Amino acid sequence: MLKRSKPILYILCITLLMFSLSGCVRTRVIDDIHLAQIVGYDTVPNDDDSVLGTISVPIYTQSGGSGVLQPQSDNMSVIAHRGSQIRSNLESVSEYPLEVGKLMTILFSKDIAEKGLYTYIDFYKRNPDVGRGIVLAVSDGSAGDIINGQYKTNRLVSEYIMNLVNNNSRNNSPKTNLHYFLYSYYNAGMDPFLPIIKKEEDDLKIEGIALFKKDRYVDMIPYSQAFLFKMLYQSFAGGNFSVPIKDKYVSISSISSRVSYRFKKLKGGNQEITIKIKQKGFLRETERKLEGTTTIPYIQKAMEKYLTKNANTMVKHLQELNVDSLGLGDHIRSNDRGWNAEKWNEVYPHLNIKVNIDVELKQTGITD
Amino acid sequence: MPLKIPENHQVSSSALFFILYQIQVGIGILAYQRTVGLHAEADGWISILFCGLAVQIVLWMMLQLLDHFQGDLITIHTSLFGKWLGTGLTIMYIFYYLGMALTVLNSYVSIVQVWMFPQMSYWEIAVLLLIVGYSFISGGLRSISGICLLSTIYSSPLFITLIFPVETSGDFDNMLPLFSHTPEDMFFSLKEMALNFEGISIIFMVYPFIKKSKKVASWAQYSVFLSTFLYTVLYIISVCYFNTDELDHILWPTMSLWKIVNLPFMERFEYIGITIWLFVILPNLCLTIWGGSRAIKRMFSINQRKLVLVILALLLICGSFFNNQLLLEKWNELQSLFGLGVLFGYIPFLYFYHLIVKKVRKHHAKA
Repeated sequence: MLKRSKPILYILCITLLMFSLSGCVRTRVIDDIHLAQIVGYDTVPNDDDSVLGTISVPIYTQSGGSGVLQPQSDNMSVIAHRGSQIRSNLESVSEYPLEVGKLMTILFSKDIAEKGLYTYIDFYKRNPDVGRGIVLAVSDGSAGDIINGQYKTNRLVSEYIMNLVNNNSRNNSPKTNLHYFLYSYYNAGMDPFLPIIKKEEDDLKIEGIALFKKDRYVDMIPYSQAFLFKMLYQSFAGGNFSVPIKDKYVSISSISSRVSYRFKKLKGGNQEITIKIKQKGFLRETERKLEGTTTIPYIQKAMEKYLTKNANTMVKHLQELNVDSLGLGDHIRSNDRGWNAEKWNEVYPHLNIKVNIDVELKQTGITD
Repeated sequence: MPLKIPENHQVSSSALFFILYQIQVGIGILAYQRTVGLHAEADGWISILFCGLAVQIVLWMMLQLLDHFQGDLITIHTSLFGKWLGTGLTIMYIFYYLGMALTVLNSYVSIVQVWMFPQMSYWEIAVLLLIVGYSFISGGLRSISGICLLSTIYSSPLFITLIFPVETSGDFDNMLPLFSHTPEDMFFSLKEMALNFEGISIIFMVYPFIKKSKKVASWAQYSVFLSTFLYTVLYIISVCYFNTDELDHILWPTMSLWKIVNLPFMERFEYIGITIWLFVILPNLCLTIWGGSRAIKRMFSINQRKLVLVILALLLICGSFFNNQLLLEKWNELQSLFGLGVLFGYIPFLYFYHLIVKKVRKHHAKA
């Protein structure tokens, strides 16, 4: 049998190793590195091969007396021949080594997004230091301008954009981040989408939803329609929307929205998908008088009609663009054994899609 | 002739559960989803269940063999095949055990290099690992079974964190439609899955060290049951969180699952995962090296402690040749094929051969 070996010898060996190993890996002390929080990509005018990359790094200074210091940031921009060069070129203007472990947001200008995002995202999906929850967004206008801009908020722009996007994903827009982008990018029956951000004087604003065909930007859905898109895309709770009924607006808060997809094979090989939405909400605000109880069914009917019409237009538009942002291909795949990933691109524009929306108003608040 | 081990070197029958569980849930569980999903995709969980079932049967055969011969692999080999052929087969088995140790060592080193310290060399990580490993192996099976129990406890909270991916964005529709793959695809996935179970043949060396009890067999079967369950659930979670298309592109799906865990004080949870995983691969390393050295000792009566040192040095040197992802993948493929052959080819052969020999010998004894 085995005997216990001398413990002193062990301790000696291990101590020796500890001393010899401590110098092997480059240490990364938090004070001596720059943690990039936001990265933006822009095209360079009159130069198709180059990319302008901008990053922002927070600088924490010690507060001398009482009071909280405003966070500051150091912004850097470099022009690189290709997206993959940006990382190395940025090092030339940075006073400390750059790290991406705390990255929150990546912005792409519309021009960049039109050419395809995959080459840029590759760095972030490959890097173990980058989380899957970081926010991706398309900027209407220059991404560098957004990063360098001054805003009314106290926060750094990286955190500002992240909060803006995440807050909206809890309400009127569907949730987006790196994980969802990669998930639908790789999925054969799905196309990704991202929020579009625009700078307006000293504020940022979500302009709508950018639709992608795989990694290329194709078109956008305006913010006013984002809620409808979310209704078609997923089941959720929360959010507000307003609907015109004979020129008078009625505003609704959503309690829950359930979506289900029914798939049917028609005679002659055609396929039909029915998107059934059950929207439960309560009346938040109205410009018209509610007279008695009879008007509630009337409002419900009018809303159903309005939403269904708009939803049909939106779905038609998506089909014309041949982008499957709603992931209908994936829904059919899970229902139909004969689903063909290669043929989906040809089938999708001619698919017979019906939208069926059912609105139920649960209450009208504390007055009638 | 039954093999007698002094009682102060033996472990209780429940320790067998932890030993076998640990050797099944090792390095493979961090990455198996990709290879299993390559063929059966969303139906991979069925392959995993069938693989677990097949392993239960193989395990039952092993237990029957061990129970009949009351010894270890060497006892079985020599009494079935005679001294020379038996020794040859045992040597093959030794290479099998040490090959597993090599797989574990290299896979863990490459994980540390890719995920945490790209600048750290193979030698630094491997030497540290093997020193820790040696301190447990030199304590014999009793201390190894102790680390098995501890690592089961340490690693169990990690599985709770897998709720996060399901909660944030698991889509169970990704599992549908069920049974949409051909039996061929399922079989190929089952083949890939076998790599994760191949460690259980360590029971051939461990068995004499387990105290006699009626429960030995059931503890062993429970361990396979638990690990099959774990592999199945984790596979379903991975397919629902990623989808089968994306899963093809992810090298370590389990670690990427941990990426979603975001704590206020900890941006990257997978670093905790990798660190704790050291305790999970340690029993693997210890058990396989112990098994290999024990078999050599039984055949040639060499001092096991010195033998282990020689084996560790050899592993260290061999491992340095496999220190790159492409070669490692090739090696894993080879190991997987070999493991499949041993698990579903050689062991059933051994069992049926033993049945025939038993019948023939009985016949001769009567006549």
